[in-house]
Amino acid sequence: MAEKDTLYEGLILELRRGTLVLCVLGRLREKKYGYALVQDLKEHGVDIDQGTLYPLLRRLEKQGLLDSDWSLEESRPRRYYILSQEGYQVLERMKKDWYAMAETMERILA
Amino acid sequence: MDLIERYIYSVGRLLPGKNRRDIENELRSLIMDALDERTQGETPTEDDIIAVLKELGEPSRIARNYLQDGGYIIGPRFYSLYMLVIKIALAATAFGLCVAFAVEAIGNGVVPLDFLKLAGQIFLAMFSCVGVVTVTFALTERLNPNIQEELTNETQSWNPKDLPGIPDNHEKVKASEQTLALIFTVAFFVLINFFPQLFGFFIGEKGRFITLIDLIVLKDYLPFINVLFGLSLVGTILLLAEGRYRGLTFALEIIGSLGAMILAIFMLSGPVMVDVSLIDSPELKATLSKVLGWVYRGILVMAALASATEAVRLGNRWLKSSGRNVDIFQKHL
Repeated sequence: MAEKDTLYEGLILELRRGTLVLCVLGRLREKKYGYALVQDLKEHGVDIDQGTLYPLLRRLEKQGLLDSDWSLEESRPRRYYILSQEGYQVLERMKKDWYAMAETMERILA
Repeated sequence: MDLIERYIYSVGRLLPGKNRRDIENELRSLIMDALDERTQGETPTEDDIIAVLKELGEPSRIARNYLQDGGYIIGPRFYSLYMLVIKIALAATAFGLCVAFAVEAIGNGVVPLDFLKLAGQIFLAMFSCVGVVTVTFALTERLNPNIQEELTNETQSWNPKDLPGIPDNHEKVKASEQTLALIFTVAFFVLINFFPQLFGFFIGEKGRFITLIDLIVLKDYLPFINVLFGLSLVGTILLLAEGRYRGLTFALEIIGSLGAMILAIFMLSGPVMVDVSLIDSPELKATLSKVLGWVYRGILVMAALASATEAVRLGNRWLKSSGRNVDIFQKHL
């Protein structure tokens, strides 16, 4: 049974992984620092592994979808991330695809 | 607090220098944020720190996520070819050294210690062999665009029409034959370049070992021999990697054979590469010089004939192979 559970968890993890970028882009229309994004996603029911999320933020920034800046105004320096111009466009396109995909899945699983 | 710095150090150690500082600073700030959230302003205990670090995960894992490239020396694209070349290179190296050892043992006899030396030599040679092959493949990996890009490009530009034809009997390559050919080529190359003095035999009642190759004459031929060796090596490796003949490999092997034939003819017209200067007795010297001169010429004639036959045989196979017809057919498409 335990083996079956691990298998299932692996499958679900894989399924979630594909939605990760969309989650991050979708929640970064306002600027947030890494831990705030973790909290925000958690509040929306997405429990994301930090060791995956923080490197992902860097990668998306390198790909030009996010902008980032160190903010020194608070109690400690924090790196804030926000959607870039290109990130906005990608998000809009991805959203459309996502809804289309959700519809398709709905039909398939009905 | 000490744990946090140790954690950040462990991650940073695995990152390239360019972004290391920045990532370390960000990680520190993120860890402090998580700690604040956990303790709500209280001073964090060691247990709190451990819990927060555990959420971040093992340093090696998070560092791997930060690294952009795959984090491997040789990726899946080249891995199987890499393993094949490693195996062949190791076998050829060991074989070459054993042949050299055997020849020297026949010449000078062996003491048990020599076997130990041989083992040591093979051991070291294998290390450098793996090193050279690995560095070559690592460079190939780095110089080629990364796999992600390649995947997307390939699906767009890949055309089923480009699929190679199934090799017919004329194009089929036996891996065992080519491996053997490779081992002998490498062994010969090692011997002629590094141990030419081993070509010789015992003579006289004292059983003295006489080198028969004229090393000075050999020096003039060596560059040509090595060019042919290189050609043959490239051809054999391509054949092994692709498992079949195609236009390029046919051409390479034919040029190699023709080159060997021309070299043999050229050597026939040149000075005799036999050195009898070490023989004491003048009569023996004269006889040996005569006999060995004929043997030398005989070997060259045979080599020239064998190379010519091989070239013709390969040319014939090429003409009959269907791959060639397919090529022509595709050009007309």
